[in-house]
Amino acid sequence: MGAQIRVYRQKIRSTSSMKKIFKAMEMIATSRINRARKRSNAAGPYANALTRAVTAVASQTSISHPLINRGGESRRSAVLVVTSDRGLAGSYSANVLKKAEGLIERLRREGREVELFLVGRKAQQYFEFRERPYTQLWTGNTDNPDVETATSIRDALLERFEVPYEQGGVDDMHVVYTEFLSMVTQEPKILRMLPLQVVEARELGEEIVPGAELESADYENEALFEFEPSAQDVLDALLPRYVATRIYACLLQAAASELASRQRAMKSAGDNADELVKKYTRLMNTARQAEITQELSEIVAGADSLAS
Amino acid sequence: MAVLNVEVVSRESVVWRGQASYVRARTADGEMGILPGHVPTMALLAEEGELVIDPVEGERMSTRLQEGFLTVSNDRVTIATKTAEI
Repeated sequence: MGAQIRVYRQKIRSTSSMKKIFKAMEMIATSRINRARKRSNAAGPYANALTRAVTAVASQTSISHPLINRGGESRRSAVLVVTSDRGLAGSYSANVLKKAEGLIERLRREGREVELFLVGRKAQQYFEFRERPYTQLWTGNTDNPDVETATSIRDALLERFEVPYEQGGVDDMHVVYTEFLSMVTQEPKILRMLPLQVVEARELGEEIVPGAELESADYENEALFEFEPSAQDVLDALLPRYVATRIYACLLQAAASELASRQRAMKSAGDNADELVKKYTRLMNTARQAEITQELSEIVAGADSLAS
Repeated sequence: MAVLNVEVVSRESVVWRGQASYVRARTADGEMGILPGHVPTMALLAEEGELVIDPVEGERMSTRLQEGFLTVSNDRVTIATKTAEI
């Protein structure tokens, strides 16, 4: 009988120590979300300046650039999947991977080859377990991405993009990441990154956001720009940076989403632990009471037998 | 008097924002000084160069810039650079 109480006591002890861990993780995630959101906002002005500049160049000159729609059919696509390094974030990575699977499936059905680029150890584990090859992988700082990671992703993708299809290059590129809508809503999104153009999202259904569209210029009514050294040079220099900025923005959004998911997951884990502790305490009390009752009835029975 | 609205942004944050009477930066073609009323321009910055700002209020400031670009339009100057500190 005493054994039962001991077991409950052990369970209560381990549950409440787990609760402390959940609580701590929840608080860490909460404080990091704010930081991640601040960084996301801080990166805004640069992204805006770049977007305006690219738009101005693209709308004022008739020069072309390989990164801007090169036309032709797409036969091989690159898909960048942005997940987290660590778990304990609810269904965060699973949702992204599900979305990515849907996209890959669709691209395959259209007869395109798909080349995978992964961010985060969760994506790595997922694809390695299924023995599906990927081209490149970035891990280590999904909850706190830096510009260098974004630049490195950009370099890898552009390198593949610049090679013509016949030599194994890719024709377009998609990013699957999680958009941070609010603390409680994060949504996996597919963004078509390259080639840069205004696309009606017709080819792949309206789920795909034409992410890298060059919006109508607010420089429109102003005088023509002078370019230094030349319009082509300016465009050549700006476009890769533009792509890097877009990728960086995606990574920041994903980081904020990851942390928000983790916070929520940890909060419900903590609540569940609370409930378990309550339940075990009740069970323990019942067990103790049962023990006492039995002891009493044994004593009474013993006394009775002696008296008679 | 016309002034320039200047914004210096790096990839991670806004470095400086304010009004200035004169801005000088090193572009790919050489030093470029900007006064109010400058023709709309879009220029690439040199690999490395000095940026000088004369704010409307306060002392002249200068910093080193690394790569980036500069746009001028309607007396609005935006300098976007990889890294900058003021």
